[in-house]
Amino acid sequence: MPYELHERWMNEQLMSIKRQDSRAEAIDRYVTPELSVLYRVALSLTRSHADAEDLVQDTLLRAYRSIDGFNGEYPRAWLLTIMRNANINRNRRQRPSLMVDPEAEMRKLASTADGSDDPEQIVVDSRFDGTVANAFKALPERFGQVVELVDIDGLSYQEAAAVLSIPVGTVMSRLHRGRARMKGQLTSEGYFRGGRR
Amino acid sequence: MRPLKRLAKGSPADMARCMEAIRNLDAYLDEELRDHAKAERIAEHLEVCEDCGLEARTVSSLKVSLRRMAPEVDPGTLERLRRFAEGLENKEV
Repeated sequence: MPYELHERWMNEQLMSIKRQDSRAEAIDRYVTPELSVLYRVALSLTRSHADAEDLVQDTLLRAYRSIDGFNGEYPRAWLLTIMRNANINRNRRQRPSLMVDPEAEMRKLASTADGSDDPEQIVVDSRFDGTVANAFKALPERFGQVVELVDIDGLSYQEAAAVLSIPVGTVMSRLHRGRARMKGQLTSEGYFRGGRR
Repeated sequence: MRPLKRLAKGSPADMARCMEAIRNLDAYLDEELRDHAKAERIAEHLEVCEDCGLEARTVSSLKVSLRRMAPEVDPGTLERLRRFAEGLENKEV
């Protein structure tokens, strides 16, 4: 091989290795810390552990392909946008019935005793949790989705907006209305004092 | 949303504090309030205003209960996903 060609080939190989290294670093820095959140949101979207894992893998593949163009800001929102698009494609491609699935499979609620928030605020009465779960299940889907993403999955308003492809202001108003309905339900069952809603 | 005037009580200044707290309560409790001075005012108000404090505790207890519904992520699943992410550089993508 002529020297110039060999040099060019060597440079290309080096560039390729560098690109792979920087992609791997970017995945390590931006993506790996979000795996737990991604899986939880995927579970909210798919209602199935197997499908959630597939969706996260699909999201990771797409993220890896496009990570060179990612500017490093708001990695969670970036990943959730990728996940939303991946999920839309999956539903179109594999299981169109899910697009029109009503609330039949809504909200399989697994319980977890995550006491990491504010221990003083935690209400330990399991009956209270049961009533909250029922009030949540009774929410119309547009409110329930936002309550689930923000209150259960722990997303920010911006992140929930990215998943649902709606403005942040809509997230805020749906969240408020969803919570107000739930408070109303809990008040009617004697948990809260009536008054402000 | 119910009219805020019906919710606030006391002097005009008290009413203004109540209205500010109730209008921004969700964002305050969700730690989404970017205006730190406003957040501090609301925090102080919730300490002294019985009604607003009760409202905040109500929403907080709802949030905490909902958070407990978060599905536990199986460590094995997370480990598989982590390995998948690490292995991407060796895949043809």
